[in-house]
Amino acid sequence: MSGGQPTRPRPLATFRSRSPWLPLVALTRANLRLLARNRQVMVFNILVPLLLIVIFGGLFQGSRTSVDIVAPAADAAILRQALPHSSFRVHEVSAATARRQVLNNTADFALVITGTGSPLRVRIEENVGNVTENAAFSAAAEGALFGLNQALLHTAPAVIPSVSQLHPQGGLSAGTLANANYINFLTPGILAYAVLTAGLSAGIRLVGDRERGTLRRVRATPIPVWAFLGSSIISQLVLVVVQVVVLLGVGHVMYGVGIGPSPALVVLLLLIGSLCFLGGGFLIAGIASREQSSIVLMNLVTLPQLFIAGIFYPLAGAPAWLRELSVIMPLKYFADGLRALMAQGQGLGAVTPDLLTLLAVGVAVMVVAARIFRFEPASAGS
Amino acid sequence: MPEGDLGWLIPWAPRGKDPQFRRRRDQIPAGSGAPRPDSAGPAVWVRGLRKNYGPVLAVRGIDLEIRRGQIVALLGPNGAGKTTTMEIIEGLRRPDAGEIKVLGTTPAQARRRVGVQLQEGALFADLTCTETLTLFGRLYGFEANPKTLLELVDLADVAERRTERLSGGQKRRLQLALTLCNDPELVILDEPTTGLDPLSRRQTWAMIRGLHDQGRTVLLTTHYIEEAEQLAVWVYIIDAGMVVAEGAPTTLITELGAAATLSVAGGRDAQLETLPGVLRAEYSEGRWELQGKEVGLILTALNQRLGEAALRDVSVRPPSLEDVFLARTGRHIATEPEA
Repeated sequence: MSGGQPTRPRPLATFRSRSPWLPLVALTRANLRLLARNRQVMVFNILVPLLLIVIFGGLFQGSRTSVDIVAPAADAAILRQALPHSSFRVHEVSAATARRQVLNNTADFALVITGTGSPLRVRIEENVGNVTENAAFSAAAEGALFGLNQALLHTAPAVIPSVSQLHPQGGLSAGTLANANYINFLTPGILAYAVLTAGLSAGIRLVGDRERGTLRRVRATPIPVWAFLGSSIISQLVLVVVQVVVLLGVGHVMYGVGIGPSPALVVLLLLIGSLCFLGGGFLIAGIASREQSSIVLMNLVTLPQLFIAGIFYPLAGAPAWLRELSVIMPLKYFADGLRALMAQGQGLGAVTPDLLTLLAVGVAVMVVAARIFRFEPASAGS
Repeated sequence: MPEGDLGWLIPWAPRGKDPQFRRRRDQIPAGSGAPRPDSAGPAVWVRGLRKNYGPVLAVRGIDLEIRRGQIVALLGPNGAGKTTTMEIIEGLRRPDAGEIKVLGTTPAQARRRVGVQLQEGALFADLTCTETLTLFGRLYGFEANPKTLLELVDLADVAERRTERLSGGQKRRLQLALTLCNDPELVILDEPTTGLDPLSRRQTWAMIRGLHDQGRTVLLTTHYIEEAEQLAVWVYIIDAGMVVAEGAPTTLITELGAAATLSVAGGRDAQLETLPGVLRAEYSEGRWELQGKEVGLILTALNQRLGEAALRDVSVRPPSLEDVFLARTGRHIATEPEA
C-alpha cells in the first residue's frame, strides 16, 4: 500500500436502467454463451446433422460415377439433350427391352416421356427389388431424375415426374417421386430435423435449469416474463442461423447443395419452423418435471418423426399407412416445405400449406405451453 | 494451552473481536443504491400469511414486522415454513391469504431493491463467476462490479472459473455475492451458511454484519441456533407454520430463565450430581449432562475433579434459543452447524 489519499472503495454495483431491454440483452448474451459452451448442443444440434449430411451424401452420391438410363428411341434424343452430364448414360432401346434391362439389372432405370407438352411428363421405371435392396441405387436414380428436372427447368416451366416400380412378376406400382437427387433430398430434411431437435432440446435445458433452481433465481429478479422468453427465442434463432450456415455451407461446398431461388421464403419457413419447435420445447418443459423425463419425451417426439416424416427417404414409395401416419408429423411439413423451396425450386404457392400447418401447430403449442409452463420445480416449499 | 484451564470452552466469546471479521466488515463498500434516508416504515410487513401445498399447511397465519436496518432471523427446524414465508416475501410464491408489504410496496414491485439468496438457487453451470455476477446485475438493471463482489466473498482467485467447477462452499459464497449485485436495500438470505465449513461460515457472518453496518436490512432464515444468536437482533422462532416466539435473542433466553448444560465424558462413579451449582445431572452412554445457572462455579469444581475422576471432553452449552424452542414446542430444533 502506498501512502497518500485513501482509496475510495469501489461500489458493489451501479444503477444503469429500468429498461427491460438491458436484462433481455444480458440474458440473450448469456444464453448464447451457454449454448456455445454446451457440448451436447454442439454435438446433437450441429455435429450429428452435419455428419448425416456428409456421410449419407458421400455414400449415395459418391458411390456411383454414372447411371445407365434406357429409353425408347423416340425419347432418347430429348433425354440426352436434357441430361448432358456425363454421369447419365442414355441408351436407345425399345420400351420392352428397357423394362427387361431394368428388371435384370443391366440398366439402372428406364425413362419414358409420357407427355411432351408443358409441363413435361416423365415416368421413371425402376426395379422394385433394387429399390428396396439397394438404397444407393434408388438415390442415384432419383439423382438422375433430379438432373433431368433441373435441366428441363431451363427450357420448360416444370416437369412432373412419376415413378413406376417394375416387379419381376410383371406388375407395376406407380407413385410420385420426389424429384431431387439424394443429397438435395436429404439436406433440407436433415436441416429440418436439426431445427426440430434444437427447439425441443431448448425445452430440456429449461427443465434442467428449473430442476436446479436456476429459473427461480432468475425469476427473483425484475426481468419481465416476456423478456425472459424473448431471450430464449432470440438465442434459439441464432442457433438455427448457425445450423443453417454450417449444414448448408458444408452441403454446398461438398455436394453443391443450394438454397433454391427463393431465399426469403426459406428464411420465413425456417423462422416459423424454429418457433413452432421451440414452442414444442416449451411444451415439453411444461409437461416434464424432471430433466430425465423431458429427454424421454423429446425422444418420443423426435424419433418417430425422424423415420416417418420422410427425412431419409421419400414417402412416395412408402406403404399407405405410413404416408397417412406422416400427416400428423409437423416435421414432415417443415421438411417438405424446405425441400420444395431448396431442392425443387418451387414458390410460395407450393409451400403455403406447409407454412400454414407449421404456423397453426406453433401457435397451438405456444398457447398450451404458456398455460402450463412454470418456473418452479415440481417439489414445492418447506 | 494450560492443562485444566477450561475457560476456552465457553462458546459465547465476545463478538467482533476476530480481526478477520473486522476487516471483512470494513471491506464492504457502500454503493449507489444505499438505503434512502427518507425510508420509513418496516422493511417487511406481513399479516396473517397462510400457504397450503395441497393438504399440507406450510404457513398458518404468520405475522412479521422487520424494521429497516436490522438483522432479523427466522429460526426453526426444517419444514417449519421458513422458506415458504421467504419465497412469498420474495414474490416467488403467492400466498393463499394474508397481506405482504416489502419496502412499502408489493413483493413484485420491490424486486429491484431486494437481494435474494435462495436455499437451492442454482447457478448457470457454464458461466464463470464474473459472467454470473455481470448477468444478474443487469437482470436487476445494475452494472455489478464483479471484482469487488468476488473479493468480498474470497472468490477473486476463481473469478474466471465456471461455476460448475466451484466447490459447494464456493457456490454458496458466490450466491451470497449475487445478493449484492443490485446493491440492495433489503437482503434476504435463506439458510446462508448451510453447507459451509466453519471458517466460511464465520466469514459469511462477518459479511452479514457488514451489510447491517451499512444500514441494509437483512432477513435470514436458519436452523442453526448459534447463527441466529450471533447475528440477529430480533428472532422469529417458527414451528409448524406458526411463530411460536419472537424477540431479541437475549431477552427470549433471559425471560425463559434456563440453565446452561455441561457435557462431560467419564465414569458413572464420578458422582457429579454433588458438584456445587448443579441443578440437575444425568448419566447416559458414558457422558454426564449437568445443568445449572452458575456455570463458572460448576466449571471450577469440575476443574478440581478432572484428575481424580478421569473426566475428559468437557463442553458447555449456554442457555440458548434451543431452550426457548424446547419450552414452546416440547421438541428440539436438533441441529448443529455442519463442519
